[in-house]
Formats: sequence, structure tokens, C-alpha cells
Amino acid sequence: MKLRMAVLSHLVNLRDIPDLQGIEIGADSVSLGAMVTQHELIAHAGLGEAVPLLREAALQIADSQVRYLGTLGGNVANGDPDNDMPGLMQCLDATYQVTGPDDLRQIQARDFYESAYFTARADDEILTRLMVPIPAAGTGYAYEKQKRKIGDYASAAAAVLVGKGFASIAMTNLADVPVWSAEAGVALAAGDREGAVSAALAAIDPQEDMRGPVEFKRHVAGVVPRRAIDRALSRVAG
Amino acid sequence: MDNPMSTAFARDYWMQGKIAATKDGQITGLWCHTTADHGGFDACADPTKFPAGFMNICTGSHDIPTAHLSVDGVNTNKALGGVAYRCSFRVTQAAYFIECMIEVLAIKLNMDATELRRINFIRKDQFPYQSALGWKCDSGDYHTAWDKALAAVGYDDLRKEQAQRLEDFRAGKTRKLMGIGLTHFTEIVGAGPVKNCDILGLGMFDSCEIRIHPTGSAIARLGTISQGQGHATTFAQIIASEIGLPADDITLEEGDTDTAPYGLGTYGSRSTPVAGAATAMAARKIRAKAQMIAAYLLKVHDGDVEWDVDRFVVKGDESRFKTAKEIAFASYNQAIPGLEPGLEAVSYYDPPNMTYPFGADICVMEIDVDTGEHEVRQFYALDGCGTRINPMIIEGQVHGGATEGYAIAMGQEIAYDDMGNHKTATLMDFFLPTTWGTPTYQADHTVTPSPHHPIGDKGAGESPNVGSVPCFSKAVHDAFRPFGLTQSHMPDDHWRVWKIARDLGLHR
Amino acid sequence: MSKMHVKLTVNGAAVEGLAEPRTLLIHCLRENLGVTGPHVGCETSHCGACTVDMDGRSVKSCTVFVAQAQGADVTTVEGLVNADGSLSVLQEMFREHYGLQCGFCTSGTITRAHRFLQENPIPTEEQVRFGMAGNLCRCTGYQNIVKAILAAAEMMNAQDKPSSTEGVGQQKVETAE
Repeated sequence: MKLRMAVLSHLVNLRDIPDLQGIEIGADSVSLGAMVTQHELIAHAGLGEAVPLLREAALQIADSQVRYLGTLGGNVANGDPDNDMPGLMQCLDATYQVTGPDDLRQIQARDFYESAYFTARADDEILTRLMVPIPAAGTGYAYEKQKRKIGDYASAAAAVLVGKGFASIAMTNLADVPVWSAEAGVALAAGDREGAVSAALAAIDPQEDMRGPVEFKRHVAGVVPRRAIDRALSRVAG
Repeated sequence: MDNPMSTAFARDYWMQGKIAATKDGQITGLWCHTTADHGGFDACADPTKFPAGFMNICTGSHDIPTAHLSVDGVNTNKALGGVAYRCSFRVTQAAYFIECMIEVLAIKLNMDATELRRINFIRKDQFPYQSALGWKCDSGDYHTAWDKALAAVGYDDLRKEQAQRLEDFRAGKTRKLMGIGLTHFTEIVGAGPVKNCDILGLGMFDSCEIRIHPTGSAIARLGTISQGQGHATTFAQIIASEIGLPADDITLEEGDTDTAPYGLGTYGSRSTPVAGAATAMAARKIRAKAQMIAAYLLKVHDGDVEWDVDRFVVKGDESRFKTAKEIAFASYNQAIPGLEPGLEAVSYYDPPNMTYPFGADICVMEIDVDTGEHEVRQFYALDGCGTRINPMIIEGQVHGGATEGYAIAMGQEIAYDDMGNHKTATLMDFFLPTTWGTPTYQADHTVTPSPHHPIGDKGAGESPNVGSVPCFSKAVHDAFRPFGLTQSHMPDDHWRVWKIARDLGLHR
Repeated sequence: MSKMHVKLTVNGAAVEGLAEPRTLLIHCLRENLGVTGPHVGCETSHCGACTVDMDGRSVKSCTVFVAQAQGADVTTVEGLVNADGSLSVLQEMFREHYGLQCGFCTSGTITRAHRFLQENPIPTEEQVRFGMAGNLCRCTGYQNIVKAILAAAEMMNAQDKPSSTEGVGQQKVETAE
């Protein structure tokens, strides 16, 4: 619309729909409205305690002004492989709630992304809420992102959760969809850092862009998750 | 988005060089051949006789007896090129070239580059110095500046720290290398003398017209135009110093071609060297007339009064004086025999020579071998722009110019794909540094006035760019030097630095 | 699509009118309302020259439809001056410390800094650099911008000493890197 590539017959400001707002901290999970902004994710004290990984990642997205308006829902639903939140949601094993004309349904973040800009959401559905399980107390976490400067997308980014007998690893901007590897999580849960990284790397398919050629991306795609894993492990408590 | 795709780019030079020296480090000759991409058509503002700008300052700060420079200009299917952009006349390229050549020579001779420079710097007593490529450098004291810079950063300690870091790296204790970049540059700005500098036939003089009002306030009009360099402050200060009126009472007017005297504009650090000189000269014409008025009012001969800050005082009698403000009113108020009423003057200043600012930059950089990321830990910038009119403005120019240098050295490029599509059309892909990651600069200075400029000023806008671009690059080179790197192809963005490390076998 | 009826407050004054849905806030401000403080820089949300304050948030008005500002309270650099028209402490500090050169980014930079100092009244230099990273400047190298903001914070805290400690840290956004 801004670029005059779309002329729409109706304009609805989603910000005016109360059901799309709000951060609710439950016993086992948090419920996030699709229109919750990155700024709200960062500023919400309860969320910062329940899922600190969200805050850490949101701080690495764009800049202050963009975070004031940029929404979690927009970030995950667009299906842009550059975006940080899809990989993060896969790491956290979030569930998306999409609402259509007749019904609403739940889609796992890990099943949502089909290819760049193509998702499991139907054309007559909108993303309304996201449910994020609260990691067990003492779970280590880290979001590590290599970028050229603030405001840039990742050259490579990795989200890591690691706890007792449990781990989850997802990577961003290294394929046309976010990369979550079940094998990587299993390996890391068993204490095999290098096995985890190898498994994660097996699933990537980076493209050359101004950030660098494929070979470079493949290399940093190994470095960045190692750092995330080390930082997450250093934060494991209890 | 349209702007980076369709408007002009500044510099795309491919430079090759050879340098000759004796075994003990005395440089005997320099050769440079440059291929200059000027895009679809040439948009440069170079003086007519210098189609490659002042690339021939490429002997830099060194006493090099023989030098040869050739430049092939080529047109390509890119947007128009060669445009003026902070260092309009190819001096950054020249500095980059000689700074890299010095670096390579030090490696070949296995000499400390700081000492190699001391041997080859043009000595203070050699100025004015005739360079092999035709310039007469006006003044300089390079050894003093160099020693001051090295002492300011604690150079020897930095080298010790670097050696320790290298040892730790080799022992597997760290994956970060430390690089120290050093430059000593000599600029050529203040274009220029009409005898050899013109734009489309118009001599590169510049101008100032000053009118003092009866109240003692003044308006000055110039042929330049401030783009944020603080002309209103700097030129008002020049007038205030010359005529003794408060700077706050002086209005500057630039850029209105209906009223401004003819001038060639602001670029290439020429405003203060040329229009600033015109300002001082116009002010001195006014002061000369003011002296006659003061003498008349004080009933003495012209030669019996002398200037003291803001007034003419009768020699030997401080109680008898006329202030600039009183003189201004009198010039409109009293009929003075032999003098026209009013107090105004215009100067068209044709500089007798270019000016030659110089400086030393030192950069300390941390480099992540595995990701190619860097952090500029320290950047020291010594500026030798001659007489310093307003230190705050000069330092502001240093911060800004060095940040542009940082962008150029560490990431900025206009890239095209094989089909000629522009790949860097946004400010995300075209590297424009943000507050985060931009170095904090330590600005320092030495003062070596230009002997031919009315107030000794040499110009300050370009210098930080000229010196900093090679300085950042050389910090990268320096970090990898122990592993055999001599040069890299800028910009040193993440993946290119990563590639250096990979090609040197530093990845596990 | 027909025009939309839009009402908002700009620098304290209620304004309303008809706008095409695709009209950006920056264009409405500059072209319809004559509020030319915010500048059009990149139009891609990178440079921050168009930064305005909307309901207590810093936003890039080149990426906000005016329809999104329905009912909003918008403040631009014009609205930051003191009631008597004199420069605010923050503006004065930019002047004092040479925090601007060509001035193109300045209105957006100051408007962002104004909000930043409310988010974090006692910032460190690192926090200033992180919080101001959405405003590009090509002239200053940021050094004097950072200096001006830190100086303004100090002066503003000295001015309202009794209340200053309460709000500190509440909305504090520390750096992630």
C-alpha cells in the first residue's frame, strides 16, 4: 500500500481489536496477542521472568522506533525468513492460534512455515494469539545474532534453550524457513554440543546476499549456535 | 531507494603500486597506476587540468625524490561517477595508496613502520617542499605530530598487549586478534590558485563581501555555502578577530546568488582556506579604512594609531581611542575629508598556493576471526589544520569525517550483480554506521600555520576522512600480519574479514 | 477506496480532515499540516529523520499510515520547545555541544532523544548509543549527539531532583549486546 503496489478496498486497523492485544502469564504458558509489540515484549516484567529468551531476542530486532510499532504477530505470520521471531517460536515450541470466518484453529510454530512467505495460514484466516510454554525453572537460554549493524537482519542467528534432559535449538535466516532441528535438541540434551551443531547445520540451506556468500554463512552458522549454546549453558541454574 | 541507484558515486579506484628503497629504508622512488571507474559519465568537480583530481599528492608525507603516476579513466554501465564527496579530489585514494605502500615496504624490509616513516618524513626545515609530482607543500612538522600521536596512545604498550594476544591466540585461549592501524597523511586542499585551478573555465578563487552597519553590527556574504560545517560561526569569528566587533553581531549570508559575491562553493575543504582568506582580506580592507577614520577622529596621523583587539589606540596614550563600534557609526555620520562614507569591502581571493593539512591517525581494533566481526576499541585522530579558529567545529569535523571513513573502510560499497542490478539500494545494505558500533574518537592536534594564508588556516573537513580510511583498513591488515597478510580488498566487512582468516588457514 | 476521516492531535492542536488510506503520517504532517520539522529521509524505516512521538512512543512516521494515528497525540520537534517558545533543555544541549551539523537528521534525533530520556532518565553512554541507534547521522559521527543527550539528562535530573528517582529504571531498556 505504501509502495502503491496494493490498492485495498477496506482498511482495518488491527490495533483497535482488543482480542489481539495483551500479554497473559499463565501457570504453564504465556498467551501473547498477535498485536503485542516488540517494545511490549521487552518492557513486560512478568514476561521477562517467565520467558527471558523472548526479551533477549526482541532487543536484537531493529531499533527502538521500529520496536515500538513492530508486532510479534507481524514478525511471525509474514513468513519472511529474515525475521527473528519465527525461529525463536520454533525453539520455544509455541502454538499459533489463527482465526477464520467460521472457526479458530491451532498450528504448531514448528509446522507453520512452508517456504519463504508461504505458511500454513489460509488466506481467510488471521493470526490472533501465540501460546508459548514457560520453560522449566533454571532453563538456560540465549539468542545469538550476527548482524552488520543495528537494523539489519541476521547473517546467522540461533535460539537455544537447555535444561535438565531437555534442549531446543532453532536458527534464523539460513534457509527459506526457520530451521529447528529435533536431532540437534536431542544431542544437546545429552550433552553433545558438537553433535547438536552438526545436526543443526545439516538442515540449513543459506543463500548468498550482501551479508556474504554461502560458504561464509555456512561457517558462521556453526559459530553462532556454539556461542548461543555456551551462553545458554552458563545460565542453567538449579 | 532511488537515490543510491541513480545518483552519483564518489570513488572507485583500482590502484597498483611499486616502491623502491635502500636496504636501510630510504625511499628512492614510487610508481602508481590507477584505473578509475567514472561510471556512465563523469560527474566530478575536479579542476579542468586535473581530471584525476589531486591523486598526485600520492607521495604523501614522505620525501620521495622520484615518482610516477598514471591514471586511466574508464566509463562503465554504472550510474555517473567520480562525484565530489568529502575529499572531492581523490586525496583519500592517494593517501590510501601511499599508506599501503609504506606498510608493504616495512614488511619487505622487516622494519618497524613507525621508524620507517621517521626516516622518510619530509623534515620541518625542508618546507616549502617541492614534491616529485609537482606540488609545493606549504608547511608541516610531521615528526612532532607523529611522536605526539604515538605517545598519546601508549604505542609501545599497545604492541606488547598485541604480542600477548597473539600468543594467547596461538595457544587457543582466544579467537580474537588485535590490530593497530597507523597513518600519517598529507592532504592537499584549498583549491585553488586561478593559474592552475578552474572549473569549466572559472578560476577557483572565492569571495567575501562585508558591510558594517552604523550600529556596529555587520553582514557578510560569501561565495561558499555551509552544509553544516558551521560557517556562520567560523567566518563571524574571523571577522570579529579582524575588525573587533562581537561575533554575535555578525550575520552570515550564503547561497543566495542574487546577493552573494561570485564564488565556487563549498567542497574539498576549500571554504576556510579560500573564502575564509577572502573574509580576512575584506575585513582588513575595512580595518584599514577604519584606521583612517579613527585617526581623523582622534586628530592624529594614520600612523599614530595602533590596533588593539577592538579599537584603535593613539600610540603611547591608551586613554585616547576609538572602538570599532564608534568608528562604524562615524563612517556613516561624519564627513571625513578624502573618504567616502560607509564601511564595507569585498575581496576576491586568489590563493597563491594550495594548503597542505596533515595529521596522524591510530586505530586499535579487535577482530573476531571466526565471524569477521570487529570492534574499534580506540581511535586517535591528530589534526594539523594550521591555525585553529573554532576547536569545537574542527573536532566535529573530525568525528564526522572519521565516521565516514569508518563506513568506507569497514563496509560501504555500491554493489551490482552480474546483470547490472544494484544490490545496495537501502540503508540496510549500504553500510551507514549507527550510534552503536561507531567509535568514540580522541581528537588531538598540532598547529603548523600555512605561511601563505592570511590567518594560517589550512582547512579541516576532508582530513579525517583521508587519514581514517587507510587507518581502519590497516588495523585489519595489522591483525593478520603475523599470519602473512599484506593487503586486503576493502571494504573489510564481516565476510571479507572472515575470508582473510579462512585463506590464512585460521579456521578450525 | 474513498478517503477516510482522520482526527488527531498534533503538538497540542486538534486537527481533522480527509485522507487517502495510503497517506503516510509524515506526508500528512508536512504537506497537509505544514509541520515540516520531521523530515523525509529514506522512507524505509532506516534513517529516523521522520521520527515523531505518537502517544508516548517514538515512531518513524514514514512507516505509519495517518489512519493508524487516528485519535493519537502526535508531538514533533516543533512541540518540544518550552511554553514561552525558548529551546528546551535537550534542544539547548544539542546547540551547546554541537550535536548537529547539517541538521537534516536533527529533528528526528532530538524527538527520539526526548522520548529516550523519559524511558531512561539516567542513562549510561552505552544505553544512549543503543537507544539512539534508529537515527542515522552522516555528519557528526554521533559523538556530540551522545554528549548532548548525556548533558541534557544531567541537567534535567538536577532540575527536578525530588521526583527523578521514582521513575528511574521502570521502563529501562538495557542493551542486549
